[in-house]
Formats: sequence, structure tokens, C-alpha cells
Amino acid sequence: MASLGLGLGRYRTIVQRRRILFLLINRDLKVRYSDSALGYVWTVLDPLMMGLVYWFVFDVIFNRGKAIAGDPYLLYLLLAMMPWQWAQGCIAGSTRTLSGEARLIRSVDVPRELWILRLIGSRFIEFMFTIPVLLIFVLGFQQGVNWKIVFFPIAIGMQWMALFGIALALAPMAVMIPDIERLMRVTNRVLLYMCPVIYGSFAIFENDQIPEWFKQIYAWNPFTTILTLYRVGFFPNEDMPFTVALRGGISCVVLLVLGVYIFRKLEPAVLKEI
Amino acid sequence: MAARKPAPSKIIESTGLGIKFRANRQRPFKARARETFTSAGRAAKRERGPEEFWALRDVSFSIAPGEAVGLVGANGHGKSTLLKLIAGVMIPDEGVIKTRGQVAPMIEVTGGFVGDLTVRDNIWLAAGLKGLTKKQIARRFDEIVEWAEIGHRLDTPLRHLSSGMKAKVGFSVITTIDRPIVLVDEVLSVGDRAFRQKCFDRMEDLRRSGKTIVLVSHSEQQIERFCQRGLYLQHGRLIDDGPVEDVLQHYMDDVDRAVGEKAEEEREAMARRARRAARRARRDAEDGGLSSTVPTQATSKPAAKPAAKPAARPSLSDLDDEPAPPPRVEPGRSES
Repeated sequence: MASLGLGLGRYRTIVQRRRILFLLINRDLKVRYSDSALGYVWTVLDPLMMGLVYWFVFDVIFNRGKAIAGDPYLLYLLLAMMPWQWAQGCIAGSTRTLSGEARLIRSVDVPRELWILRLIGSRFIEFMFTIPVLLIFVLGFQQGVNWKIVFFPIAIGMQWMALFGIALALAPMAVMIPDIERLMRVTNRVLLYMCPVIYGSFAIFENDQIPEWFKQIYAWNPFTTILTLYRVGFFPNEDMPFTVALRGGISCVVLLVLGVYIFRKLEPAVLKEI
Repeated sequence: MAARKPAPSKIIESTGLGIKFRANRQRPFKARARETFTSAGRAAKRERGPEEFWALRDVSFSIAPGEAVGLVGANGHGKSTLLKLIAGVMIPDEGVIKTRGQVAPMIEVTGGFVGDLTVRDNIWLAAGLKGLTKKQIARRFDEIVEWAEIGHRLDTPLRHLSSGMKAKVGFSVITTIDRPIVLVDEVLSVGDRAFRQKCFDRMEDLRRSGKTIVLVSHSEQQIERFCQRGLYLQHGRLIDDGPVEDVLQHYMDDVDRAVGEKAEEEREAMARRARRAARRARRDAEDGGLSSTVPTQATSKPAAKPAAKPAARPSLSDLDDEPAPPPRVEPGRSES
């Protein structure tokens, strides 16, 4: 078959039934915003508050903002915090998405990848909601924008690939092994520091105290590339070495293919389990 | 009945269908470790037999458009699993199941509902999840609401509804979406009497309009009423396929026989216990000791003579201290 054993025909079905996907994403947003008075504010408030905390600690108290990040530090921080919130939501959410919607999955015959897309999609919409806030900060700091802003949508595309791959692999594994959920909660916290969120990637690559092997691993981390690409359009000095970007791109593709494969392999067992 | 459509002769086709489940999957870690690493554990595991069992195996049948088919069989013999395979919400390990045309599964009718959203939103949502377009939903919305008799509570959150009312809304949505294949799993047994009656009528309508229906129910009357054809599943095998009366008769004969065999077994066990008690009584008597379990006999005569008698008069249990009165029929021998 031309589908290479990955069941790509199913993705055609998903495209045909995209209306269901939009409906589910719509439902997620409705549910999230229908029962709280502040609704949208919460989406923005969480990364904003964390951003302020990091800014206070690293820039004000330690006064290290310029050494580890671009200037102004707060804007630099938020440009990665917002997409990082999307990523964390997907990684944590993927471990619950199949078991949490078991009743629905048991009664609706759609390609099961749709449930994963829906998770990433609804978190993505929330990320989109935070972009106006980012713009306000850009204007407020009177930060210029350069041509590299074209990498911003590319970063979004790469993040879609990476997250879809990760969630496709994690979601069925979490059904089979419940411990994955807790593992990912810990991993999420570790990843915050292992990705260039509260500092710039140059703080790793240009640090002589960090061993070469760690830098190698760090370069293969797709989020090193993705999060840096969000910043390059606003911070002209932000460096995105091509060798790193290439590895990040390869990682995204590998994660995606791996995720599709794992999901296909585990799907029958998952359906029996839930 | 189905002649109205120029449809293919088979709307559901199953060939060599099989699905297996793993037993003991959620065993504690310690037990699993013992089975893997210690020889005693491995032996115990071998003794316990295969970890997998086939919930369905070698199931082949085909259903023509417009047929109403009832799945018959005891609990845990694969009826619901078969329905899920037809609905496409489970994937077989063997064989193929093909359906032509879309399926309306009444398996978990309230499955797509969100308690926090209003009834109105939920109807839109549930119908949308079944693949209806906005236009189609808008056209059928009033019909759904009217059948579910929920018009006065459209804007309350769904979680304020009773479970029966939720089921009603779910049933209303799923029977309005107009799919050629309808799968029904026990939903007709929920709700109050009036609701059940309404469901019946709705099902009759569906059948009359030429839908293909596959029904799982433990009520023989329901199956006999709705279906012309029965499929009888036993231990995951399709052992009978034919007119519904014959299949139901086959099933009920099997049940009766099983019940009879069980009763027979129980009678035998009872007789065994009785004989054992009698033997003990005799031994006690032969020992010449005053048996406390049969005080009346022991006091009446310590000799070996009455020992023959208790053998014919078993006490029904070991706790039953009194000797049974003579006219009582001995249970174990009543049939032989």
C-alpha cells in the first residue's frame, strides 16, 4: 500500500470529517469559558503571571536578564511562555485525552487520531488568543520588527508537527501504562528548564562550562529551534544557527512519523482497554 | 420490505471475525514480577492457562438491507462486542467486518454529552458528532426536541436533567439522524414505562422505514417483537443463525439444559454431603462413643445396629444436628 503502514488513508477521512473536529474544538472552548466569569482572562493570566515572576527573579533580583536573554527580558520571556503553555497543555493533556473521553470514543466512529488533533487544536486556539497580548507588549516596549518575523508562522507549523507526534505517542501509551501521566507531569517541569523558555538558546550554546554532549542533545530538541524562531523576528541579535535549525526540523519530522506509527500500533489495544 | 432501495444484497458482512482480550491485565505489579522471575510463579502462570481469550472467533454472517436481527446469548458471550465491531468503535484482531452505509449506534446514547453545556448546545453537539451538517441539524432540531419532550428546559445545563431525561434526549438525537444501519444495545430497558413504550414505537417506525436493525436485548419478547432473524452467540462463536423463533428456542433450550445440569450437580453434591455425614455418624456409632452430632441416636442405642439407618437418612448439612425424619425423601436418589 502507498500508506507505508502508517494508515495515511485515515488522515484523508479526518480531512473529510473536519467539521467534527471543529465542533469538538468549539465545544472545548465553550466548556472552558462557559463556567468561569473571567473566561478568556485566565488563558492569558497564567503565562503572564509566571512571566512576571521569572522577570522579577532573574532580571530584577539576580540582574541576569541581559546575560541569559534578550532585552527587554519580559517581552523575550513572554514570546516563549505563550507557545510553551500550548506545548505543556498538550503534553499533559495527551495522557488524559483518551481515557477522559472514553464514553465518547466508545460511541463515535471517527478516526481516533481526531481526538488528538482536537486536543492540540483547542490548545492552539488558546495560544492564538494570547497573540494580541503579545502585540500589546511589543508595542508597549516599542520593540522593532525585522524580516525574520516570517519564521513566526514556521515555528507554529513546526510546533504543530512536534506536538502532534508527541501526543499521538503519549496518549495510547498512557492508557496502557497509567504511570505515564505522572511521569509526564514531572517531565513537563523539567522540560521548562531544558528548553529555551526563561533564557535564550545562546545561553546554552555559548556557555563554556556546559559539556559538548549536552549541547548536542540540546540542539536536537525541537523546542530549541521552535522557541528561538518565535523570537528572531523581534530580537535582531537572537542567533539561530542553521545546523541547529536543521536538527530541530529533522526532530519534528521524526517525532511526527514515530507518533503516527505508535498510535496505529496501539490503537486496537487501547479501544479494548477504555 | 427492503425492495424499495436498489441497495446491495448485503449491508453488513462479517467474515471470520475474531477479537481477543487479555485476562488479568491489571494484575498487581508484585504478582506479575513473581510470575516472571520465580519458577514457582511461572508454574502457577502456566497452570492458570492462556492469558488471552477470544471474545469472538470465526464469526461470519451477512445481513441484508432492511433486516432486523437480534443478537441472542448469555452475558459475556460476545453480543455487545460484536455490536461495537459493527459500529467500528473496536478493531478486530482477525477477519473483516464491512458495513455499507453509515451506522447509528445506540450504544452509549449519552456518550457525547457535556453536563456543563445547555440542552440546546448538547443536541447540536451530539448531532454534529454523528456527522450532521448545520443545515441538517437545524431542520431536525424541532423534531428532536419534540420527541424528547424537552422544549421547556432547552436552556438549562444538561447536568440538571435526570438520567432518564438525558437518555431520552440521546435516544431522540440518535433516532433522528436517519442512518441506514441502527445498532441498539439494551437502551430500551432504561427509563420509565412511558418512555420505553415511546422507544418501542420509534423502533417500529425505524424498522418500517426500511432501516437495518441489529438489536441486543435480554428480553426475549423485545427480540421476538422486532426481529425476524436471530444470531446466537455462545462463548464467542456464532452457533445459530436463522428465523428468530428457532434461534430463541435453541437459546432457551440451552439455558434450560444448563440450569437443569446445574440443579443436577447441586443435587449430587448434596447427596455426597449427606453420605459423608451418614458415614461419619456410622463411624461414631461403631466407635461406641457418644457422638454429639447425633445425640438422639447415640443415646437411643450405642450398638452398631442403628448405624445402617442413618445412611439412608442423611442430614442436609453438617450443622444440621437433628436426624431427618424417616418419611423424608432422600434428595440424591430422587431421580435415579
